[in-house]
Amino acid sequence: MDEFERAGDDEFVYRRIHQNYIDARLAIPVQPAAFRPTEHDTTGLSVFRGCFVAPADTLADVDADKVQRYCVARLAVRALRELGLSVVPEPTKQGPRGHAVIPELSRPAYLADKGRWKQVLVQLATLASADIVYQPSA
Amino acid sequence: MTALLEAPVRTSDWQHEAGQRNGNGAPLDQRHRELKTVEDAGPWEPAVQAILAMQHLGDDWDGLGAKAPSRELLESAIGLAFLSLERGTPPPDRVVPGLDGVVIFEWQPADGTYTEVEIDRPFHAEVMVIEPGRPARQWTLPTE
Repeated sequence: MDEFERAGDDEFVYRRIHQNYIDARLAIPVQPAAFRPTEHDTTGLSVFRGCFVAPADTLADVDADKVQRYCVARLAVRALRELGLSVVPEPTKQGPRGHAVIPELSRPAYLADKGRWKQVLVQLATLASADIVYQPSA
Repeated sequence: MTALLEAPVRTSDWQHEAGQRNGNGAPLDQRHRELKTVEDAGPWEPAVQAILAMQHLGDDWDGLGAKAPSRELLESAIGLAFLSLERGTPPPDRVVPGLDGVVIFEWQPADGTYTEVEIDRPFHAEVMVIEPGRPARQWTLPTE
């Protein structure tokens, strides 16, 4: 399968989540800030397509001293579409395979309509909370 | 709880709390010292301690390029914490740094309401309240 091939509704994507943003005691353990685009997210919010990598593989380019602080959540592309989000392939040579972005959550798009997207981030956090597929070993 | 958050917040009150609690306005040489509070924040103490701990985050604290909150922003967050304490607002369930240099207070009470206060720059915050079955409400602080 080609990394540039369109992401289908039956696919899943992975999102890396720093442990600062997970608190299992809460009803929504994942904090929506885990999905907030940064100034590096110029084309969209980074995700990795599950058909190309295993959850742990998505952490390959995280600093070695920080990689143990990451979990990985799984999101269904279909669920993202229902939230008005799309997944666009954006393979990179340096990072893990299957890199893609959610263009609706690029930094410029987020800042242009923050009020709307903040609500969507809560929904993303709720979805991610239900499907954490990788946690660092103790 | 939401009603408490909806109470007006004056810039002067917020700045006063920040100055009282963490040395804002101190001579410049003191401003390079470690940020700390001089009194216990009661039920808000864990939140205040979480904010204080953020001063030790450097840029790229997450290994993927996150920005650390500035000292001025942390002072503002502490000021808002003490102002909320004085008003009897319950402490947040979680306080986290954002990936872009902000500080976020979050409440998730048992009634299903989701509330977030994002201090996005010194003495400025965005509030969002999502109550079950109702449209989300958003506003900014200070209110006057």
